[in-house]
Amino acid sequence: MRAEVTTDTVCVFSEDIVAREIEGDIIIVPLVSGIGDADDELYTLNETGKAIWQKLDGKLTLGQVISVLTDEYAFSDEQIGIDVLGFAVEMVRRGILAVKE
Amino acid sequence: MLLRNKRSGFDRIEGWGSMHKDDTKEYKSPLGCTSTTGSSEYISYGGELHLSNSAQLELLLGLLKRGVPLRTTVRGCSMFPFIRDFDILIIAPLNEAEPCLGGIVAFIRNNTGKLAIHRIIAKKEVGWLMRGDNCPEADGVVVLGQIIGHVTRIERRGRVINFGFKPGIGSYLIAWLSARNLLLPIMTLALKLLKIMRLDGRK
Repeated sequence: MRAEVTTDTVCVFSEDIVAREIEGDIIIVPLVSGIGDADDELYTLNETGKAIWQKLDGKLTLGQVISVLTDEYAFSDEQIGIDVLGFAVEMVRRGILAVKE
Repeated sequence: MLLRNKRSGFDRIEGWGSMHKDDTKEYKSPLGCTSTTGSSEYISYGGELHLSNSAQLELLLGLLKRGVPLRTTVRGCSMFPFIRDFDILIIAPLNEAEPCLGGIVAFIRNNTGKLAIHRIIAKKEVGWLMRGDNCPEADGVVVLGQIIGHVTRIERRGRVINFGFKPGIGSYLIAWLSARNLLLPIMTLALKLLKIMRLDGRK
């Protein structure tokens, strides 16, 4: 059963991925049976995904991430919150992020 | 040979992530942050991603440093016919093993610092001599630190190719011929003979 993602959740990068910031892009390679499969599965984030990703340090809750981003971008915390939670849910579903217990 | 990376086909959606507070007078957010459902795309996948040679190198180094092999499609014909355009390779870390003669390795070129995937055709005093099977000249001698991984599997149209890269007499022979400038003429002749035989077979 997947853990619920809320503003109190702390997300960490999954051990089943290798992620690198290369030439301004976040490139995520999932590990399939211990192999980085860049042929069938390779992910990149758009600018919003990248902005959220860069704030995830394994310590901040998603609520704190929303606050930090709200300070940085001229959108309401409600607007940014929708994206941060949406992003986290999608990444957890794809196995790219894990919920810190 | 160079790596080819796949990724998504759909257009990147630029959201507020590209718009800092100072920039917002000039832009409007087109992203799902204004959506009532919160469902928006943050990630791209599938399709094709064009990475520069240095970006491919960095990605490969990132994986191999973690001890993780990379499975990826390669482009080019410098290793034809043993590796062909759009073949899928698995490149694994050497894990302190010494590169073997005849093996196909990913390495950093001497003069350009770029990534290449070619064969070791000779052991030299200071390193290994590299050459693409279909290249008119050798790349030069590279030292161990320049070799970042070796090819452990080749897939072509869903089939696994077992000849020409695993340690053994076959790859050793290819390296031996290549080091003596005999591989290209022999391959050319063999391919011509094969073509003739196929044509004869159809008659």
